Formats: sequence, C-alpha cells, structure tokens
Amino acid sequence: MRTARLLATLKLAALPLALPGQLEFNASASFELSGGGDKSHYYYNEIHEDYRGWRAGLAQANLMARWPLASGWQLQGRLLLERDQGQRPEQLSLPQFNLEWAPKKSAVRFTLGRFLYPFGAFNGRQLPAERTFIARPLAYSYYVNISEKAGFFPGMGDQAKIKADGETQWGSTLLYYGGYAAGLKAHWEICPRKAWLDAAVVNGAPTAGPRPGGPLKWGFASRLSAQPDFWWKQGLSLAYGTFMERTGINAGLEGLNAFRQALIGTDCQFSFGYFELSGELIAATYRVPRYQPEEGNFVPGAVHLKAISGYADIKYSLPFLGGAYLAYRIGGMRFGKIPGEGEQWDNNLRRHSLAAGYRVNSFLLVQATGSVQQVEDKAWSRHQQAFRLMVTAFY
Amino acid sequence: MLKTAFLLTACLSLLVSRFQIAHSTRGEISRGGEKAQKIGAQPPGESAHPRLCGLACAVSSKINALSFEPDIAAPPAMAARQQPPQPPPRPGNANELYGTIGLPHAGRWMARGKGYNKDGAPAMHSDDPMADPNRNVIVSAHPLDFAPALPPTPEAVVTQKEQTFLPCVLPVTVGSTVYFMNEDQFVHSIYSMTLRSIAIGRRPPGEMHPRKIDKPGVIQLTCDIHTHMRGVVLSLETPYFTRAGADGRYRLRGLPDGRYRIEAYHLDAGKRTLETTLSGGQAKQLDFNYVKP
Ligand SMILES: [Cu+2]
Repeated sequence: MRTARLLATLKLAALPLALPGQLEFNASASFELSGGGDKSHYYYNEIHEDYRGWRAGLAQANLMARWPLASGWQLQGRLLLERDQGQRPEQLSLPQFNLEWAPKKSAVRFTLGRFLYPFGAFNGRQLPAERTFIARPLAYSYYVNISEKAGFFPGMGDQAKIKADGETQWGSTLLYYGGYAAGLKAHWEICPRKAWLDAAVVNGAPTAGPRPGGPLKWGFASRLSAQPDFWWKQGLSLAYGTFMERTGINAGLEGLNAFRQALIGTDCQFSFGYFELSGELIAATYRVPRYQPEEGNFVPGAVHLKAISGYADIKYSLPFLGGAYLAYRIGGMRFGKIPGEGEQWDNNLRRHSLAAGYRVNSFLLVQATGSVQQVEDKAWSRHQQAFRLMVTAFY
Repeated sequence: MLKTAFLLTACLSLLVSRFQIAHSTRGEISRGGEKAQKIGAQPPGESAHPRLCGLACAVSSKINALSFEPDIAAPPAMAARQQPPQPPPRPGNANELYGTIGLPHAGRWMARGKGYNKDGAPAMHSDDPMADPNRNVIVSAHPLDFAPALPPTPEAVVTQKEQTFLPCVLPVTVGSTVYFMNEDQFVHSIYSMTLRSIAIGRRPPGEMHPRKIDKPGVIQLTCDIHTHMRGVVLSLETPYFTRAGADGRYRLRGLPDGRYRIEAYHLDAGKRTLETTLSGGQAKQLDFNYVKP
C-alpha cells in the first residue's frame, strides 16, 4: 500500500518530465569594432582603458534554448560568452536558466531560477539585436561612487584608489548591467493584453548582480506594465533590497544587510508612423556605509544618498529603406548632496548618442553608435567619446 | 490623389460596415470571397487569400470586395488592372498537374526557435491554420516555352494578428498590389529585407496599406517591434499557382501545352524544383517530398 502510494507520488512528481517536447534553440554572435576617447573607461563608457584605440573582435555570443516539458511546464536558458568588463571575450555564464509553470486557464505564471529582473524597460532588451543603441543607458552602465564592498566614498576609482580583494573599487551601476536575478517570479496578466504585473523575490537589490559572496542577499522587485492605447506603453517599477558583500575591507562593519537600495522607475513608449519615442526615468535611494579612505575605516551608521537617471530615445525607421533606422538618445544622471556636507556624492553627467542600424538580411544586423558625454566638474569629460560598430549574426 | 480618395472611401466604408462585418456569418464571408474571385483574374487553383477565420476574413473579404468591385469609384490604374487576363498564345490549355507534398513533420527532437524567449512574456502566436507553414505550401508552374500574361492577383491581403503574419506565405503574380493590415490592438510595423520599398511604419489597428510587389521571388516580411514575426510574399512570374491542401495534395488546372519548371515553396523548408512537359490535355502526377529520410 505504502509502495503504491510512493509510486503514485513519484509518478506525479515526474509528470512535468513525462512528455518532453521539441527543444527549440537560437544562437547569436556579435562582432564589434570600437574606439574611445583618451579618458575612456569601462566604468564610464563601456570601453576598457586598455582598449581605447581601435579594436575589433567578438563582443558576445549567445546560445538560447527553450524546452517544453509538458503542458504548462518549460525550461529555458541562455548561455552567454562575453567580454569580462570590456576585456577579452572569455567570460562564460548562464544568465538565464529557469523553470516556468503556466497553469492552464490561469492568468498567472511562475518562474523559478534565474530570470530577467522585473524592473524597467531596458532589462527586456538583452540581446544586441533588440537594442537600438549598442551601449546601455547610463543607469545600467555608469559606475557611481558606491561599491558593494567599500560602501560610499567620494572620488571612488579615479581619485581615491582603494583596493578590496586586490581590485581597485570603482563603484557600481544603479542597476546590474546583466539584467538578471535568481529567485521566484510571478507574472500576472491583470487585464488581457492591456495590463500585466510582475513580482519577484530575488537575490538582491537591482545593483547587486550575481556575485556569490555573503551574507545572503535578498530583494523584492515588481513591475506593472500597461498598454493604455495601441500607440502607448507604460511601465512602473519598484525594487528594494540588500547589496553589500562581506570582505576584508568591511570586516569590522556589522549588519551588512541593513544597508539597502531602493529604486522606483517609470518608462513609456509611444509609436507614431515611422517614429518611436521611448524613455525611462529611475530614482534611486541608498542607505550605505561611508568609508574614510584616509583613516581606512567606516563612519558609524549609514548615509542616505539619492540619485536620478533617465534617458529619452527617438527612433526613426527609414520609409524608403526597409530595415534601416536612425536614432538619438539623450541620457543623464543627477546626484543628491551628501547629508551634512553640502557636496554632491558623484558628478552629474549627460550623454548624447546617435545610432544607425540596418538589417542586411534575415540573419545579419549592422548597428553603429557614437556618443559623447560631459561630466560636470571634470576637465577631461570631453575625452570620453565612444564609437561602436557591431555586426550581429543570428540563427 | 485619386488613389488617396479611393483609399479614404474604402476606409470610410470599412468603418461604416464594421458593425455589420462583426456580425456577418461564414456564409456571407465566403460569398464575399466568391464575388471577388469572379471579378479578379483568378489563377487556377486556390484563391491567393485563404479563408481566414472570423473578423480577419470578414474585414479582408469586405475590403477586397470593395477594392476590386468595378462599379465603385476606382482609380483608372486600378480599373485597368481588372481587365480579364489575356489567354496565353498557345494551343490547348486543358492540361492538369496534381500530386502530393510530403510535408516535413515536427517530430524531430530539436528545431530552430522563434528567437530569444523572455520569461514571463511568451511570444504570442496565432493558432490559425494560415500561420502553419505546412498549410502554406505553394506549388507553381513556370512555363519555359512562352511568357504567360501576369494579371495582378486579387484579394492579396496579409494581415498581422496575434503577432503572426496571416497567411504566413502569400503567393501573388509579380506586379500585384498587396494590402497589409493590422488586426491587433497594438501597433505593428512591416519591412522587408528583400524588397526595401516595403517599409510600413508603426501603424494602428484596422488600417490597410497597399504596396506594389514589383520584384519576383521570395519577399520576406518582418516586424520591427515583434522580431519573431516572419512571413513571405511569394512573388511569381506565372499565373499558375496554388496552395496545397491540409492533406498535402495540390491540383493545377488549365495549363497550356509546353515545358514547365514546377516549384514547391515551404516557409521553413524552402524550394523544391522539378521539370515536366504537358501536352494534349493530359493530367500528370508530380509529387514533392520535404520529408527528411
Ligand atoms: Cu509586430
């Protein structure tokens, strides 16, 4: 009797694996020609300082797969080979790997594993072929003066060179550039084809990224997206969580998980004829430890820091040349004052980018992006221009 | 100017008839189709525009009926195109070609996907049979001894519904005008990497956009917004073509005597070509096989 029950339980547990469907896969490879200004740095404009001159080579390669296991169940993943912080394309990772369950006749589906971080509009554009510009927006690529190991201190990286685990601390982006997190996510279609809600419990705040160090990080993220009219898409996102990581430099700091990051963001997209207008605005607040580079210790307590970042894109598809587009992006970041000090905690900046793209055929896309940025109070800011030409082949 | 006026009239008529369309029955829909077939220069075999179900078909049929109805205010260019086709200058045109297409089955354990699958947002796809490449195998007979007249294909409509091109393969004679339509409640765009003049921007639901297909061959279609969408306008230099049935059988009637290159086209599996000679009113069997051994 007990054996029969056990067998029945096992059979039930094995149900999702009972009827595997066809394994679907796609692949892509992107080759890039790039060059940057004298003051280029991966943390500022995604051009590594050792590769400021003209450089050509493989920028990233992807292998994507989806495997329907049984009715409502599927496994999906993405294997990524990319340049480690803009250096050589030697970093292999599995940014997406999850099991999804979509109960029949239900408006809710669940995802367990590594999935897209449900915040903002840009995380949904992971592949070069889905992006208008090759470079990421500032909130996802510009490193601010907050490091997950050394907390906050002004002039991080360029003026104050503090090492942790043998690496100079350069800070972190408002949102981890990889765009994925691990955890459990629910997706709810509130109103068919009109409104959706994503909510997830994840392994850290948006800035955290997939670093393995302790203590155990946690975060909560949600995104409400809606299509109020055929020409208008609107999103509203919220995220909150921990991001600090234990290492030698912060050994004396207690309660690392008491330091948090909170983000609120809104994004929209308007489509008219050959034009598409889109943009995103993200406000960030941090509760972060203040490091004193001269003394080599942390100020007791936490400082509250605020920043805001946004971008607006205009894309124009050429009516006489199908598959070709031109686009312009203006992006910026503004930083609040350090409480009690009257100084901004990082330098405001603005970036202008121009892009062009042309789909050669069904498996080849050519894109080019040029950008200039101005960092306030930095004499060298005009030397952070960047140019990228990317050819993406996909299958 | 006249063309614009015509299109405006058609759009207005469409709006007025929308309520009626939404309540039309299948019978009315097929009547619309038959009417258009009688007027246009219909090649032998099946209609270029399949019988799409529901509103898609109703709207498309209404618009086609409007577009090709000679007694409405059609621009001169369009009226001229409605002349019956000139019969090919060949003796005898009663030959027939029929056969079976060995359709590729989806039984393989792995296949190319529809692009990057974002979790939580599966790519929308229509269940309409016209979205199935196996239901859209086109067989065409290309005369090698004479140049046939190429009347424009009537009822040439490609619609975008549930992020899917319907039909996924639309056969037309080269020079035909294809009407592109959006039946979703969000914007779609259309562009072609093989015929760059097809570049229809982001357009609202319900609008029709005509584009002349002035180049022969496989005209690939895609959408800038939903990159997984793909479709084909098969632009043919022959009026003799048909869409194979669900059972994989096809039949081409009214073929004049002569030598032919017979082509089968499948969206995923591509082209298969055979040559044959027809004469004396014969009925000949010619099978194609897409099944991998
Ligand atoms: Cu689309």
